[in-house]
Amino acid sequence: MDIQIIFKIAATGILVAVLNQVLIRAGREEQAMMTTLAGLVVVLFWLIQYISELFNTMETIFNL
Amino acid sequence: MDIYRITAVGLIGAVLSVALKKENPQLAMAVSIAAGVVILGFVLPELKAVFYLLDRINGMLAGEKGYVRLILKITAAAYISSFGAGVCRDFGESSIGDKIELGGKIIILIYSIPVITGLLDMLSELLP
Repeated sequence: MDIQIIFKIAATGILVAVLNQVLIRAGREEQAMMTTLAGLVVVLFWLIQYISELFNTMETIFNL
Repeated sequence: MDIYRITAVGLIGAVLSVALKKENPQLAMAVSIAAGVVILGFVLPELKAVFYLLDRINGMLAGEKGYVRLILKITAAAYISSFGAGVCRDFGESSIGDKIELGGKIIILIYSIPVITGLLDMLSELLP
């Protein structure tokens, strides 16, 4: 439960935003859209893992 | 766990979320969820001390033993539903947030049914 994941997600977000702009300037709007979606999916994977870890700790703590 | 770390994590998460909001709103939402998860992860282990106290109180209670455990379940449900609803409202999805709150309330109501029946039984015994 450390702060690493916030920086990872923010870095991915910025990277995807930059890539998006570069691809749009290069005239490839579809690839730009695809990279945004790919970035989103990757981030959601990390996030779901992290949330399930939180809910597991919650269960153990509240001993439900 | 001191309060400085919680506030620092919250502020950093807020800044990064706002930074990403224009370019990529979905990832801004992900950053704010992650910040919430990190803060909850810091704070929740601290609750263990409270539960030892609750166990001691539970020991002293003469009557029904299960109620303290029920209180824990209800608090956990309240925490989780308010966490989800807050994040949804942050990003303009207040209707989804309200649905999560509604679900949380219903679940808490279902948890509290045994308490109500226990109370009714006790009352019916007292009254002739």
